Amino acid sequence: MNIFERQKAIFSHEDMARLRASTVMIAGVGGLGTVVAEGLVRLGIGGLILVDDDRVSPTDLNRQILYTAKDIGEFKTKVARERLLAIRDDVWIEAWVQRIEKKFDIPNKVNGVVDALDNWDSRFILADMCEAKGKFLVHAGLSGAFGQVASFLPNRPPKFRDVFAGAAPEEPAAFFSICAVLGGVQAFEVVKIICGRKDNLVGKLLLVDLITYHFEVISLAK
Amino acid sequence: MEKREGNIKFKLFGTLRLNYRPSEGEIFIAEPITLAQLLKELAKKYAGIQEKLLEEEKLRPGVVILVNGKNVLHLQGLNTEIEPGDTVVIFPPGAGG
Repeated sequence: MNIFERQKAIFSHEDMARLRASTVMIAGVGGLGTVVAEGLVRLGIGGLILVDDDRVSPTDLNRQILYTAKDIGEFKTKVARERLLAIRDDVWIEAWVQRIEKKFDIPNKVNGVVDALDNWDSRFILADMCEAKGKFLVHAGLSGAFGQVASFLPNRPPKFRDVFAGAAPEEPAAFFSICAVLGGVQAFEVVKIICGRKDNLVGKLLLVDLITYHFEVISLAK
Repeated sequence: MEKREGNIKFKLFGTLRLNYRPSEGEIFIAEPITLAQLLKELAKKYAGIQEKLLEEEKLRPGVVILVNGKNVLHLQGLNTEIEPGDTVVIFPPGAGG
């Protein structure tokens, strides 16, 4: 039995073929990135490149769904790769222990990039690289029970820097539900962009408040 | 002469919603005002919000304000003119992942 049997009504044969032929880079394999990675594998992505220089720590286990207590001290991308291959062994996955900084280079074979990072410096660098290399970018960030998701296409305004100018560092609270909601949206958003669906978050900003369950999409100026 | 009075919409998002409810509303203005003046008006509804958003009369790092979907740092900052019919979104974008 095909593992994608139950999503046939949502994704056409052509959609699934596009996903199967696509490779996505996930920058940051923490609270958001683990959800996005597992989501994309279960949705039918063909390849993933996981990028994170961090190791699993006990305080990650409240929300980072690919890790267990036995993984503490191990590199996140290596553990994540094993777990993802246990879900589907026909997906191509590379695990890179690297940090997103100016010398980093997005591989040409990647169709698009997921921003699941935890700091704005790396986010701005990543967004500039996506623009320069012609890759789409699906961003999310969170603070406690709040967060945002937005997508950016190369050569199409607004740019990431236009929207998030003024954003500043913080070390916010983070828990399972906000990561699952935002990461789940990011995974679907990647699929929408790859499959050419128009109802995506390009040129828009989804703002999420899990305290009151308020979700709102704001149109961004070009 | 063109009538320019009317309402502007404001919406607070992110962690601002922990302290300030209801988190959105409308303010009547008789003529265009600056963003700085709007923040003074908001302070009448939401105690302490100016201090949360401003630091030495500048936008505090971490605060993003969009007027009709455009970041005010790419407009005229606190001098950005707000007109009736405009929508102002104020939020500290979440940094965590």
